Amino acid sequence: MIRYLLLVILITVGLSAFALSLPVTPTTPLPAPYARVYDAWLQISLNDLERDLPAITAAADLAAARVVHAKTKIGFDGEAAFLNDRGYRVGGLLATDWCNFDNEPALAEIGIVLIAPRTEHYALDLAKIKDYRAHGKMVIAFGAPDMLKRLRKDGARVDAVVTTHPAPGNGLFRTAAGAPIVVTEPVANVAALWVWTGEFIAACTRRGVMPEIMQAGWNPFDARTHKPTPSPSAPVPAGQYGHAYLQAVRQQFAAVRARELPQLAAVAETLAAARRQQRQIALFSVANIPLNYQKSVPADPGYFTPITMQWFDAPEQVTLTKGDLLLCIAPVALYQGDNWQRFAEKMRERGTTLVWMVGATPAEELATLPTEELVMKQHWSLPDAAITMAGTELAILPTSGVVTEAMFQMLNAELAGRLESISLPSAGKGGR
Amino acid sequence: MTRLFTVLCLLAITVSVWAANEPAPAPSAAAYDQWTQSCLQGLEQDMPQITRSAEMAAARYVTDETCEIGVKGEHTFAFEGTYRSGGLIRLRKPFSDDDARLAPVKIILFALREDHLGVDAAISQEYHQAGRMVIAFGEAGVVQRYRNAGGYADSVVNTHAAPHDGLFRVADGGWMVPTVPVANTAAFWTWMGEFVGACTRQGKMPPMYQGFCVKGGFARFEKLQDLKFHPEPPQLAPAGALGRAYLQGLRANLAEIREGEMADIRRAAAMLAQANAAGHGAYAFLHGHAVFRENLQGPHRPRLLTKINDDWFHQRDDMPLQAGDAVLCLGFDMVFQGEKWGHFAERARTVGATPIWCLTSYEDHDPSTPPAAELVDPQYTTADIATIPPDEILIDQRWRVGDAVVEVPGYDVKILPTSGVVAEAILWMVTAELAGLRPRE
Repeated sequence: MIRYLLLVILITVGLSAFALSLPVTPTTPLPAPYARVYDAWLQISLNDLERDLPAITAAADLAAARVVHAKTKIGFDGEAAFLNDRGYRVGGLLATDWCNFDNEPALAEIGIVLIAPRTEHYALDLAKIKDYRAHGKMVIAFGAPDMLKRLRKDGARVDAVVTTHPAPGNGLFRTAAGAPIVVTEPVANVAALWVWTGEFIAACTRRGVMPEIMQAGWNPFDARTHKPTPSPSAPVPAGQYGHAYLQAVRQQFAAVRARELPQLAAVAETLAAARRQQRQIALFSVANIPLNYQKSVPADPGYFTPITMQWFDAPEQVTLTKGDLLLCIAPVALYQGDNWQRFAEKMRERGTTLVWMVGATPAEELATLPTEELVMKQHWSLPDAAITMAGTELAILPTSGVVTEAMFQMLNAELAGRLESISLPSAGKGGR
Repeated sequence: MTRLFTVLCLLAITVSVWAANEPAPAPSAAAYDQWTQSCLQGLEQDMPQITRSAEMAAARYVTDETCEIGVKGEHTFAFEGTYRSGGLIRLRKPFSDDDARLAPVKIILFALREDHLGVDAAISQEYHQAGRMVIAFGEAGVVQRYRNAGGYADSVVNTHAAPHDGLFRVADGGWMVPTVPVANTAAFWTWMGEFVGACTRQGKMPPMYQGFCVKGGFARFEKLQDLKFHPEPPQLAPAGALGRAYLQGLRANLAEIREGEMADIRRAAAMLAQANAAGHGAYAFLHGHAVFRENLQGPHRPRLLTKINDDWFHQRDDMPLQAGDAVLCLGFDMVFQGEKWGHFAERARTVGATPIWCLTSYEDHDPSTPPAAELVDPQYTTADIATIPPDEILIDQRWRVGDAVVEVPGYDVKILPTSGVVAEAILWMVTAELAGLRPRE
């Protein structure tokens, strides 16, 4: 055990030292130094998650055992990215829901709750955990070691835990005043969520069942659009899917690291210049992760004004004008044409400058963008899945959530580096 | 002095024991209806407190131009008031705590949940710390437990639900047939009436919906949807006037049901009981703002009916109807037939299942106004109750076109609907009657 701990410390210190050794001043010849630090943190976090795979598998096994015995939904609660990236995702579980206390009948259908408690809503999340347990639900808590310890101390009994690996205090950097800045919890949570989901699916196959997976073309609210979910040709061994998911995320980040950092730095420079000139910089994103939540998280720098209101609805009131900048995070379709009420066109007509972070947008559609609009690519492609299940064509475990969230935070890191005096905190193990 | 105190204590104990031993009423639609009347009476008696609470909210709503008002809590309450004929157009639906749309909602109408008071208390503390006004709705005992759990409220509205939510005692000591859905919706609309009245006394009239089923209702909404207040100064509504007018309208509606529909409520329960006894399905197809969320499985629900729909217009595919089944079809003013409804009624009749209808017919429409058929917008409603075959039961909900019962002086439409309370009341009256018919174990 001691040897293991020493090994962990050595690895952590080694990786931290690697991260710290990266140049973090704007004078570096390498582009996007702050994004590189974020990327280095992410790799450490993914490594930590991989090391925890046996515990994650055990938590998934526990849930699978309950699902096999009684048909039940898996509910999600807590941190917003964790809560939202699970829902209506092709390649994700179909029988999930968010734990909506305003809809008691729907809440009653949930037998297993995955919750990522939030520091800024700690008392509420603690009360919810106690409530779930009091109502006989299985609770699996996702959180950094400090959070999990705090829950235990406050009497929150849970059935299993999944340790996530955000930076201490959530923020990766520190401002001159010592405040944490540039969030890491959403990325750490979403990565842990999909690793767990992979292990859960695998655990179900080892029990001879296959949970329903959301597939392309399905309407999650209309069972008539669903076809039976195929099962893999053989039970999936413990750890296999979790490991494969982490590998897929790493590969995508290798592509981002190799090809996108100069462009990311250029976008950050443009945005920072606009901000220095007191122009608005806004965010429009129709993706599972609602990036507009972050205003409520203390470590979020709040550089962007979110203008997305609801899925597929044009914003109610857009105050952007000439000289303002709008970051459009577009997973698949660009926000152009009648399907999007000519949103992008209207913004251009106002004189607003658009910059893009795109996912699996077809090349021919990307070619329609005006050449002066900067584009960053996330390097994932459809069907947005880390794994194709053996013996089937079923693609599972999307990576776009982690990539979207992490690239957005890398951009925040670059902005913070340009707009504020930031530094890395003293080296130490992640978690709070 | 000591002797007097002892006598008083003994008296108190005796009264408590007597009260505790008072036989709970046997389940029946009539007993449920009787409780409903006492609930409305309690709300009327509390009108001064309700008015004060509404005035406090109105003062903030009027003076803070960025302030919005929203609902939260028990599901009937949370879904009854939004997007509702006769309701406040700008009322915000419940938002989760990280949703950006929660930010401007500075007044929260919060219906407490007896089963989740720890969570409710924690939520209320978050709202309070964020500077939101919290108006708690709940039965007196529930409110006390909420306070004990650390719950916060700027004001409280006693809903006069039964103390255990369930109205009737069952053999295992529990209580069944819930009263919270009716009590919460009635309290909500009474408070809303007082809120509108309080706004007028502050010199403002907030836009209120006219149902889209009324001709011109949608066009009117399109004109008003972005306004927080009408530009014209309103006529003042006196304190208590709109709340009392609502309760009066609601009582009148319920009285019509008591006098004209109770026999059909009993017949419906008997038919459902018969289906149950014969091993057939006794189902409910629930269509309506709040009642749609009811799953008939929660606390205090006797589980004598099975809900057969999980969307507004379609029956579940995994519960095919069979000969001998009976289905309570509770909706607004449309028969569940035709393509929009997946031909539910037609399919039920074809297989030999019996629909039992609980809709409004508009038959008793006020003779001083044009016929209902001339008032409704065919784009939004078929209003086709006349097509129900005479051999099928129809429990007429007896609310009028536009589903609003309160006239606001100088305002163009009536406000505050009764259909939500009525639908819940009939559902639970049928359930109570059904429970009374259940063979004793």
